[in-house]
Amino acid sequence: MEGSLEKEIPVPRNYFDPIFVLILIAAYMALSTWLGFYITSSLILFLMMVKLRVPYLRGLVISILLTVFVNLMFYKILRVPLPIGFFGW
Amino acid sequence: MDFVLHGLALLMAPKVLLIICISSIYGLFVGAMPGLTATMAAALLIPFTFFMDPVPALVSIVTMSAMAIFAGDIPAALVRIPGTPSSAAYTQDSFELTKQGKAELVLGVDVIFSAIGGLMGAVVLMSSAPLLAEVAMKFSSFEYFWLAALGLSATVMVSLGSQVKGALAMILGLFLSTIGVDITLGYPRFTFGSVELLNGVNFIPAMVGVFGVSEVLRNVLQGELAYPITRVKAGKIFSGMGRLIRRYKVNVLRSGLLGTFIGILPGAGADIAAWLAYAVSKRSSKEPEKYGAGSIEAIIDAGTANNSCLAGDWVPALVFGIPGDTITAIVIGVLFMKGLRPGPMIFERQPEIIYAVYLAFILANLLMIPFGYLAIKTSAQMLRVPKNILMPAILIFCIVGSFAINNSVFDIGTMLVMGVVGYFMEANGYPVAPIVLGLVLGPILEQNFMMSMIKSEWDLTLFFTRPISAILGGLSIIVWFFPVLTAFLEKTKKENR
Repeated sequence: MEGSLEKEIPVPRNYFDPIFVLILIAAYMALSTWLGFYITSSLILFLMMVKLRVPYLRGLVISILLTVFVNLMFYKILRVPLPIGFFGW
Repeated sequence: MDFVLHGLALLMAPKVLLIICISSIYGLFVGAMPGLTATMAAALLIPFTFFMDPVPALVSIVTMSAMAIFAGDIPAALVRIPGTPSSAAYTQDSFELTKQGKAELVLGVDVIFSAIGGLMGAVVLMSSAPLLAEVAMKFSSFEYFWLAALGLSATVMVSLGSQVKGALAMILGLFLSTIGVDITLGYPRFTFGSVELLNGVNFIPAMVGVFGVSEVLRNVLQGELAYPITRVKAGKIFSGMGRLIRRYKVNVLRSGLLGTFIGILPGAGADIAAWLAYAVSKRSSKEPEKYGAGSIEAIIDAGTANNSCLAGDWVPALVFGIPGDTITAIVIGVLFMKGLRPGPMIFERQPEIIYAVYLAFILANLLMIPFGYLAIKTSAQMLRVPKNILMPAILIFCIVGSFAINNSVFDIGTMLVMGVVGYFMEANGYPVAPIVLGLVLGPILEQNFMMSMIKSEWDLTLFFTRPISAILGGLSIIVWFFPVLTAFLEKTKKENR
């Protein structure tokens, strides 16, 4: 019954986008202990937004704001350690 | 009475009130976004609650889920896409009424009757849980074994769609729960020499994967959906509600109780409650021809049932530690990780936790009216939040949340794998909820079986000679043979004709 709702709205399929998301998660695993939380998170967010056709400048600003927000929530409020890279941040 | 006041005091702390407000807004937003479910909201909230004290953590999940189940009704009425699966039953009716220019009426009914349903569920929870807890005090490992078996069986029986697929999903969950060091004998199982797997599949990253990452994958595959959004005058939504409550009081009572009962059943959640209440409502209605073409009665019944179900889900969760639905399954998994065992002992040792949950349900459903009004007022803006910014944001919360639990990159890998598994299962019509139930109930099943066996020196008959154990065992066996039984009855009926 849920399927019938979708059939009436034409749904575009972007088969490469989910694979790109998986690559980004793997990249986070590989890079976060090396580049640290700030750079890796902003980079991953920016790349995914660009892939989903968000304009470059907007994507960059939102990526940085989101990274600061996540850091605030986890590190500042909940006091959970985040990955630290060789720069020490 | 002391405990009630103590519970209230815990709830009224400024920090907890702030958490309640944030959780409400979060629940409303996720519930109202088409394609994001209440279960996903819970999975993403868990990493945060993991680092909180038990009371604020539980309160936050209760308020979030109540708000999310209501908010699922908003896009159902405005764009004909249910915000959560629990609103799917009456999406058609809601949208038909919106097309007739009655969007305000539908949304008003959604808020008011969700709140009434939720409050009814809370009353049942408060009155039945302490009674059941006294019964549960007599339970030993034999009874808990059967309860877990019954929970798993019921999950398969009520899974929407194919029961075989439900069973396979549950078995996958059970298998995942066996990974790691054997709980009684201490022997590593299925670890393939990996040190990280010795502690088993880490529960929280697995949940974040199955419910968070898989939904991100599904949403980016679909791309941006452009839909016209009906604008509503939020000021008008509460007019005429008193008349509707008086007119449909029997429906409300019936659906509220039905919903709570479905909630108490292990494994059956708010979506099933809504479908069932809809079917019952249609059968007993004076105007069944309106169902599907815009029946306000249908929306009242199903909308009451899905919210009352939420509180019902907490009954077996608090009393027996057996989850009533996916969200409470996640909660139990997290409580275990925090070393808190839900069960009758909590009622004696930490009653303030129980009262905090009760009061949170009442508070959440009262807050639903003002918060719901605001959500409806801002619905047009909310539904316009672009997915191409929302999805990356959800992804980063999934990643950081999974990492935070143990500070381990390996857990991000667990999340990744479970996300892919969850995605492919749902894409092929396999329900994912039974995985969670299997993962949570598996260790309970195994531990209680082994404890019983060691206590009784491998005397299997004790599973049937203790009276309560025999009843629970009999029930489980009936559930197992239910499909065979019904098929047999059908056949004999045909032959007799």
